[in-house]
Amino acid sequence: METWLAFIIAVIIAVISLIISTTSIYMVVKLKGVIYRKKIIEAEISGKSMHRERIKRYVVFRVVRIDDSPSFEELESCLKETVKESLGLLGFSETSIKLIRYRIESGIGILRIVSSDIYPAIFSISRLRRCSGKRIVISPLKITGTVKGAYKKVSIYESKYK
Amino acid sequence: MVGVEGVKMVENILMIPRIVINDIKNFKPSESYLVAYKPSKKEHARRAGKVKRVSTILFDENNIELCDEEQVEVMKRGSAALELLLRPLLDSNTLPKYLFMMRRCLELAYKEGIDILISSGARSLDELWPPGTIWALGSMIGFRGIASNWIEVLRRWRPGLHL
Repeated sequence: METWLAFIIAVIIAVISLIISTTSIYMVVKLKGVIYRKKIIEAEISGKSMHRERIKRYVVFRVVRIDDSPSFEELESCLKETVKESLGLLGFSETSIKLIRYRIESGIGILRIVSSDIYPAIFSISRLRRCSGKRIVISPLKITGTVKGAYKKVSIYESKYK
Repeated sequence: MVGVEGVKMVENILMIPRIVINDIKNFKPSESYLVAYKPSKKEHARRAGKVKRVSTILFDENNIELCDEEQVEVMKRGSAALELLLRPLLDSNTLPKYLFMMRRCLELAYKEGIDILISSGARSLDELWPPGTIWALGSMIGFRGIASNWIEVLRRWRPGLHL
């Protein structure tokens, strides 16, 4: 066989094997993605989250005063204390809660929670019944993903609970 | 306005008269009141579970141990719903055990298709649990719809309410 012909055949074989290997790698990656997405969907349907990412959520709440209202600083420290008591130090460090806004007149406030599971944090803040000697009940009203959305809800609730 | 005697609408809140009975001798179904029975003994709990036309069988921190597989099995044959109070969750000492027992009881009842109700069991204003909290608790323990099950029980108790 001619040398040039052998060279061309070798090049063609090399190109074909390259195409086959690239295609198979592409298919494997694609298939893996499909399987992973399917697993996430199945997990979401069954209520379990595959991602344990910490997500930021804003909880719009209302402080129902039974006698007197706590101040912003008092409420923030009470909320942190109650979460610390309920979830423990590690749970508290994971939630990194912050009181964004609270108006004494309406009792409506916004609390930021950064957590992989916000419900235990919401439940623990709802257990708060006494803050600096003042009897209160905290009622969670809405959970939003953005602070802008939370402020929108606040304006609606403030007109409602004036 | 719901036109059934004893049931009133006060500022968009449906007020329904209800009594909690502790003594099995006084326990009988009523058309005027929602009747909740709080058993203190195992045999009383089992007996009450079989009674038809009863609203709820109530469990709190004093009798939550009675809510087991056998109780749920008995209740499956009756019409009563399972009512769990949230008041014990306010006390940090009773919370861990009560939450564990409550979860177990809820899982058993859910598996057998018994209506599950959650109520504050409040004796004063500061013992009330807002609906948002009950929803958060439901989401936390994996029972999201528990806050709205009362309607089903009321429908069964009084079809005339048109809820």
